[in-house]
Amino acid sequence: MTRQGLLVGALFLLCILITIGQPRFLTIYNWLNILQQAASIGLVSSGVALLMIGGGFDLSVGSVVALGGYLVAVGFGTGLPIPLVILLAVLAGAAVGAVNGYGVAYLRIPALIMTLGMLYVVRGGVLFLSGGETAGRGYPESFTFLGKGDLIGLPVPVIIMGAAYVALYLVHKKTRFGRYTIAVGTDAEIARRAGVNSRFHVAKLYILSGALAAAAGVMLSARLNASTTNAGIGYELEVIASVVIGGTSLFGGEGTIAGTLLGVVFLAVVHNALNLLGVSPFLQQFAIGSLLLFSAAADILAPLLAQRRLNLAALSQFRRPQSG
Amino acid sequence: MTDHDGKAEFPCLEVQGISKRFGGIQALDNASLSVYPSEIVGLVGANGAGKSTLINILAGVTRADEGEIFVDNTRVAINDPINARQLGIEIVYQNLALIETLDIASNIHLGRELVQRPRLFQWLNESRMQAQAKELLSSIGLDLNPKLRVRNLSGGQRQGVALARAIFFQARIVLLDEPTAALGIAETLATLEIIEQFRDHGLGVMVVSHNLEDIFRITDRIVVMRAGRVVGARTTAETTSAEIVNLITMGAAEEAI
Ligand SMILES: Nc1ncnc2c1ncn2[C@@H]1O[C@H](COP(=O)(O)OP(=O)(O)O)[C@@H](O)[C@H]1O
Ligand SMILES: [Mg+2]
Repeated sequence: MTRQGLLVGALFLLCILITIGQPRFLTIYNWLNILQQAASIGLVSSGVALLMIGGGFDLSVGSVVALGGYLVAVGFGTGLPIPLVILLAVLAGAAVGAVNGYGVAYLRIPALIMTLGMLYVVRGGVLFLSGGETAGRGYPESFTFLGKGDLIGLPVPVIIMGAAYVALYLVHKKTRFGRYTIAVGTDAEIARRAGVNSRFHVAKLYILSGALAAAAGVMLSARLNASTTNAGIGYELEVIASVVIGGTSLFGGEGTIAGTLLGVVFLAVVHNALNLLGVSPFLQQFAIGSLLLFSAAADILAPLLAQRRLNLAALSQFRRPQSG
Repeated sequence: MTDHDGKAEFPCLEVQGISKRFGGIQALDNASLSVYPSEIVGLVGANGAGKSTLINILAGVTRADEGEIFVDNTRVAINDPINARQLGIEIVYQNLALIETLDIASNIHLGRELVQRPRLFQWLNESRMQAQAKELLSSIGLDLNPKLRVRNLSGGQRQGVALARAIFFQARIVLLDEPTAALGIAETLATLEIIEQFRDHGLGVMVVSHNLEDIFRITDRIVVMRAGRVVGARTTAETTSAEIVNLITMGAAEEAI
């Protein structure tokens, strides 16, 4: 709650500051542009957010983005119709997620190691199979529409991202799947004792994360009208930063889908601002990394600070009424 | 009908010859006992005697190496917690086993959520779950808002929620592992009262406790374990604290139940 408030405040402040320096910032055109740029990272972040609420972690998403794009090239190369091309790519992402999920939930490989391994397995595989170059370009217009088109005045990728957030928001808040996600993220063993198939549920979350990452890869190749093998490099930082800045706990069990979208927009605005200011991309990475560390530290320190305030309150004769 | 303290003819739960090893440790060694409907059995023994292991086996959390389990005179296999629940066995774990980040109603219904039609999306029927939870809590004398998160509850309130969850879905057997260990005096009394209500509603109850005063207050029979073995069983009205302590620490000659 307070985290989201803080984030909205920071975003607001940032926007004012940028607008003072660069009035062009506040145009709808620029905003749609920002959102369109953020759409593929945003789509990946939505799945990773639910995964992290469920106590998981996924470093392999960037490579799966490249895999999705690569399979678009392969699919069109073999003359498959568009829906099958997309399905093939998304299923491949889900399969990578299934491998991650199997390794983490059933073989008990630490998620960090499992998904770091898959980051290189998948990236290496894509680079090897495609010969390390652009895997394909020049796709049908009805396909590139998914990345470049407009619908009711909005870029299609922004609509896709928005739909994903609405869907996952509802899943998280309103469905049994969301309830189990919170439960296994808080304590998988307690959830198991209550009758939840914890391992299978965690595996499903990895599958979801993989499928959405591949979908983002499809969308990205549609926007670029090309599949590049270096697509999605560095996504893991942006995605995890978005999720954590958005208020999802590093320890699982707690988090918000809406906050994640806020985190995505916040980082996109930071990038946009730094671009407008002409800051080097290297320094931008430095900045995003620092933001991630700040919010992680806040996540860990906040309970301690709250504790301290509680103790101080106990010393005072003027107790504040307990908040419900 | 009645040959056992005016209770039912056969036990609702019976375990025979259960053994379990953890590496070099014989946690359970040919343990047997039974629980009848409308009775409270106290399970006592020193730390490490195997009480929690026995409960975990009945809960489907741990698998026994050997032995048989009967529910209502029918041999059953309990392979996972869902099995146990289907057999009408509910557990109140030593650590309570509640999800801190969820509210009371969600905890009571965890694993058994009510969903709306069409069932395809598994859309939660939140209002009905809240209402049921509220009613259930007040039935055991707890006036708690079911929307409160478990994280914000006191130890006694948490125990209340754990107890409420245990009886919600027509349990016939309730096993409680040290339900009062972390509670204050008033909370302990409230918990014991709820456990007695379970018996009065016809459930078979087994409660693990180190507090002999509590055990003597509520149980009908007492089963003593030592080093993985059942070393004695007594009718509460016919035994003394001294005898039970003696069984716990030194053990009498092993006897059949
Ligand atoms: N999962 C486990 N792995 C290894 N040893 C265990 C495990 N669970 C219990 N034990 C051992 O089995 C014995 C019985 O433990 P437990 O059933 O917890 O006793 P109690 O509940 O009576 O104190 C102890 O020696 C304990 O250390
Ligand atoms: Mg124990």
